[in-house]
Order: sequence, then structure tokens, then C-alpha cells
Amino acid sequence: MLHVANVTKSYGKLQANKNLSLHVHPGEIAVLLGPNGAGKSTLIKCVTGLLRFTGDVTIGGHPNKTVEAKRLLGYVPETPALYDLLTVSEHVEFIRRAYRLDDDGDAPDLLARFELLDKQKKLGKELSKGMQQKLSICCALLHRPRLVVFDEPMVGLDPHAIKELKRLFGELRAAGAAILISTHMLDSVADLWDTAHIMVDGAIAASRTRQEEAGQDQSLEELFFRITEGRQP
Amino acid sequence: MRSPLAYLLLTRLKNQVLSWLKSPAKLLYLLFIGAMLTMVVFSGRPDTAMNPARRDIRELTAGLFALYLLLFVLLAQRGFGQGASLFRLADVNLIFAAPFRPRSVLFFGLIQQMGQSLLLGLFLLYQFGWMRQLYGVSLPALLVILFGYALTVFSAQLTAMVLYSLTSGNDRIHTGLKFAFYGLLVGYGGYVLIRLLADPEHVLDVLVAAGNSTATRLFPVAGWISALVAGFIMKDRWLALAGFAACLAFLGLLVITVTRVRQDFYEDVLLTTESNHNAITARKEGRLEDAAPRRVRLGKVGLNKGSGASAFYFKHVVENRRSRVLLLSGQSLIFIVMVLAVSFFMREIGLLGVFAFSSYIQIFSVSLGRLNRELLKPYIYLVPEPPFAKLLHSLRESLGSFFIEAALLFVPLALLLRASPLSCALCILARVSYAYLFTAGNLLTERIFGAGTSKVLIFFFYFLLLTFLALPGIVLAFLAGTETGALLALLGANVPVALLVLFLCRNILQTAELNNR
Repeated sequence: MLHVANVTKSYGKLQANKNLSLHVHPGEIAVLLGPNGAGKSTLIKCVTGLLRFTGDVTIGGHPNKTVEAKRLLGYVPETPALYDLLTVSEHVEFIRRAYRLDDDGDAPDLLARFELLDKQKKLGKELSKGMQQKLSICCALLHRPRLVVFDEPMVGLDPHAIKELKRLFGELRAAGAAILISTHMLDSVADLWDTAHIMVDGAIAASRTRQEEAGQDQSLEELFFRITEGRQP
Repeated sequence: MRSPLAYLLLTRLKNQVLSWLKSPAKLLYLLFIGAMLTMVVFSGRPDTAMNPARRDIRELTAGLFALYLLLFVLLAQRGFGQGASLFRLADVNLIFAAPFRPRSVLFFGLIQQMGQSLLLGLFLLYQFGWMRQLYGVSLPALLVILFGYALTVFSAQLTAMVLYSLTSGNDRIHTGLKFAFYGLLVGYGGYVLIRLLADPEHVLDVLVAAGNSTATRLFPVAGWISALVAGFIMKDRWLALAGFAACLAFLGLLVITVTRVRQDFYEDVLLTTESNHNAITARKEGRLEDAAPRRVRLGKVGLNKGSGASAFYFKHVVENRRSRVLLLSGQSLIFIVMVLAVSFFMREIGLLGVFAFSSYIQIFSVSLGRLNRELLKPYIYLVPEPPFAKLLHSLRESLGSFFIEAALLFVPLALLLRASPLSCALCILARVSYAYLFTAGNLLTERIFGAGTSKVLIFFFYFLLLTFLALPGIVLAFLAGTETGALLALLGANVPVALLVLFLCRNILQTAELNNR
């Protein structure tokens, strides 16, 4: 579903992403792990078409900046970016109309699960940061995307919402969606991932699948700390 | 050993200067600002004997009183709400918790604030040209005007802080002080109104006389500061000294109030410091908070129309409705009132001169348009629609606002300047054409410098670019000779340039970068 090939992103002399390649298949949860400043968010923004880069990113076989690719994509940014002057229900309506959906998509279920049903008349600017994050997740998922990209999705969420989100990851995977999650909190995705990519200094230092994990004497966490604390894997 | 607070102030200053030297973009910008300032101040200094002032200097001193009063009221009244702060969040976290006496911390904040107040008034130096031409203002007088401005900002900040300290948690004092504050203003308004009613034929003369009257000179803070400045300009030493002494006494009283009456002022500044910090962080990260009234009236809920790219337009309609005060946003109304007020005093330069001034101010109002806000959120990039369609629908909402704003500005101006209905209509159209030209300039800046990370450099080139785009219209307007011809020339040049730029930027949403500049 998602193919990233030789992606490089530079800001002047600084290379935030160095010739990165990875794939995420339908029904797979891939996680991007790495310390702060490793280049995870930059890669996420390249994948979602928010940054210019060199290399290739395709979604469902379409270049990521095409209309066809965007139709398949859902994106939850690290900082919730909502409209201050739209209510919760108007955010949902806007996404429904912008994506030309015939119905409300998964909105009623999502709003209920993230406890937003009684806040539908609240303006974006009136929501707490956690509530904004929940609405941001609803907006990204309501058009039933086939690839969902999450950038630090757990930050600011309460325990109930984290539990609900983890359950949602499983449901999306079961429904055949490809999921890419960027996080620096290893614990939050420990029991979820199918493939893990560890990023350091803009490059992927190691990748591991769940199957490979079973045959290793070194856990993903140990591998992560060995790499990020400067020792070779 | 040097005091840690003095060390902090000096080290911050030193590091600020070093950061300018280390960044070529900032250095270039500073050199440009410096060069412009030098040019404005020193170019073609007239021989005052050969070029006597054309207008009564008392007009300027009355205007300065109005400016100082407006500034003081706007800043000081925050003391009845959230309060004001002389501190940054880093001060709160590192200094408030450290073993310093609150009085030392207060003086640290005061010194810090003084520097900032002076910086805020630097724009006044650019006004030297017209002040010198119209009123024969000298360079030392300009510096005193700047000092008056800084003193107003500083006094107002401190007043707001004291007002908040005294009124927070005490409704009776809050109501009493608020009544006194606004009562004084209403009283002064009544005084001016009575003088106007007594001589309705000569509005300007009455306003100038009122602005220089004893009642004005005695009016708290703004009156005293204007007395100081007017005394210097008009070489009335005693007036200047009296104004200065009154200000010093007032500031002394405020400091004593904070240090003696309310020694524990930390809590009073906490909320404002935090909200100031959040606003600064949002600006640094390129997040524009919506210019909405504090209490938004929801009105009818729902977009109710739109599909695909047009959903952006109907969303903007809802957002505009909620952000408006009457027909336009609060910011647009402030811009209009400001241009109308300045035009009233500049009316002798004619319709075209006023139009040029309003177009300059327009640069700042257009750059706050809704499309700019849209470019800072991911949805405009993510929605699966052709980029040009999304761009056009995002620009669509502004057409109505541009027309209303232009009409609200130029209909009264045409009446004031006794311009013909044709000239008025052409001014409205030409203003709308400038609005789209500046919007196109915004897009082109995004297109060319989208990947750039230096805000200073982007801002610098943005102004150069706008000048370049506006140049064909300005040249043709000069060649046209007549007022109508000039306005038609502006219209004729701006529209094709704006359309061409929009066409060239049609794929901007494919190439733009959302990188939290």
C-alpha cells in the first residue's frame, strides 16, 4: 500500500532524511521508532505530501501527491490542527463534503468512541488539547482511508482514549488498512507492531518484523537502546 | 560579584547581538532597516529657513496626545481582564522560584520592559519625512516623540499590572477602579464633544484646540506625556518639565504600590505571562490564531453546501461569519478606522495620495487573509481535489470582504475629499485589484521561498516582491497624468499581473511545504 523509495529531505545543509526506503502492506502496522530529532516526523510529512523531497513515495500505486493517492490516505498530525471557528460537527461535515462522501462515513462511531458526541457544538478553539487530538483522529479516519499515518498519536490522550485508539489500530489492521505510526515511546506500541523501523540521524538504522523478533535473543527494546545509545546492533 | 539579574540582562543582550551577527539573513535585514532609517532621517534635510513648516505644529501635538491616549487605554485596560506582565515564561520558571527579593525581580522586569517599549516605537522614526515636511519637526524632537511613545507603553504596562494586582479577587475595588478609569475617559470625551457642539463648523480647529488645552495637559498619563513632548517641540521648558515630573511621580507611585501594597505579585503576572508565551510560540511555529471575538456567536451551525474543493469556500463563509464584528473582522475595521483617521489629516494631498497610503496599509491586512491560515493546516494539502480548484475556492471567499472593505473605506473618503462618484468607484475597484495582487504576492513568496526556514529573509523578500509586482501599475499611474487615468492604469496593470501570478502558482498546493516555519 505504501512504498517509500530513496527518500531524501534536506533543509539547507542539514539532511533530515537520508535515502530512506520502506514498505507498509495492507493489514500491516509499521512503527517508526527513534529518539527526538531522528527524522521521523519529517518522513511522515514527506509520506503525506506536506513536504518536498527527492525520491519516490507511492500510495496504492499512485504517487503520493496525486488526487488518487490522497483519497486513500488518512493523517493524524503530531499537533492537532483544527479550525478555531468550526464546531466539532462542522469539522466532520467539512471532511465529509471535501472527500465527497455520501454519508457521514465512520463519524458517528468514531465520535462516540472518543467521547465527543456531547461536544458537537463546541468550537475547535474551545476544546482541550486532548479533545482536539481526539477530533483530529476522527477527521483522519472518517473517510475510511486505506493507509493511515499517525505522528505521535498518544501524546495528550487520556487513558480511555489511548485504549480506544489501540483497539482501533487492531480493527483497522483487521480491515486490511496499512498503518504507519511514528513514536518515540516504545512502550505505547510494544504489543501492536508488525514491522519496526528504528531511525537515528535521519536514516533507518535497523528494521525488524514480528516474526524475526521471535527468533532473536535481543528484544526490540534492547535493540533500540543499543542503537540509540551509540553502540552497533 | 555582579548581580545574577544584571548578568542575565546583559548576557541576553550580548547573545541577541551575536545571533544577528551569526545569521546573514538577520544581518541583511538589519542593515536594510538601518539604511532605510538613515535615508529617511538624513536625506534631503531641508533648510528650515527656506522651507518653513506648512501646517500648525499644534495639530501634531494634538495628534500625538490622541495616539498616546489610544495606546495607553488599549494597554492599560487589560488590567481589568487578564492583566499584563513585564516577564517572560523563562523568568517565571527560573527567577520567580530562585531566592531573589520580589522588589529586585520587579526592577529587573521594569528594565527589561523599558527596552522593549523603546523598540516598539522605532516605527515612528520612519514618519520623520512627513513630520518634517508638514510641521518642521527636527531630529531631536522626533527622538522625544519616540521617547514619549516608549514612556506611554511602559506606563500602560505597569498600570495594567497594578490594576490587576489591586482588583483581582476584589469585586468592589474592581468595579470602583473600572468606573474611575472609564469615567475619566467619558468625561474627557464629553469635554471634547461640548467644544465641538459649540463650534460645529470648524471641526479640525476645535479638535486641535482641545488637544492642546489645559484640560488635556492635566489629563492623566497621556496628557502629561503629551505635555512633555509638546513642551519640548514648542520650546516651552516649564511645560515639558511639568509633564515629565507628573509622569515620574505617577511611575513612582505605581512602583511603590507594587512593592509595598502587593509584594507578592508573582501570581498576578503568571496567567498573562503564560498566555503571552503561548501566543509567541504559536507565531514562531507559524500558527496563526484566528482573529475572532473572545465570545464567538455560533449562529447557524453547519456548512450546508459544498462538495470537494468548494467545501473550503463554504467553510470560509462560516468562519468569516463568526470572526466578524458587523460586516468585517475586528482587524479589518481597525485598519479602516486607522486609514480614515490618518486620511483626515492628510486630506490635502488628495485622493491619490490617500489611496497610496491605504494601499500600503493594505499589505498588512491582506497578509492575514484566510488562505494564509489555510496553508498552515494540513487539510488543504490532504483533500483529494485538484490543487488549482482548491486554490481558487480558497480565494473565493475574500472577494466579498475585499469589496465591502473597499466600499467602507472609500465612500466616506470620497465624501470627505469631495471626489466624484466615478473616482470613488475606481478607487474601490483598484483597491480590490491590489488586494488580489498582494494575495498573489503571498502565493508567489510561498512558491519561491516555501522551503526556506528564515522568517526574516522571507519577510524581506515578500516586501521586495510586492514592490516588484506593484511596479507596472505605479509606473503607468504616474504616466497617466490624471486622477481617473491613474486609477484606471492601476486597475489595468494589477489585474493581469495578479492573474498571471495566480496561474503560475496554480500548483502551489502540490509544491508548498507545511514545515512549521
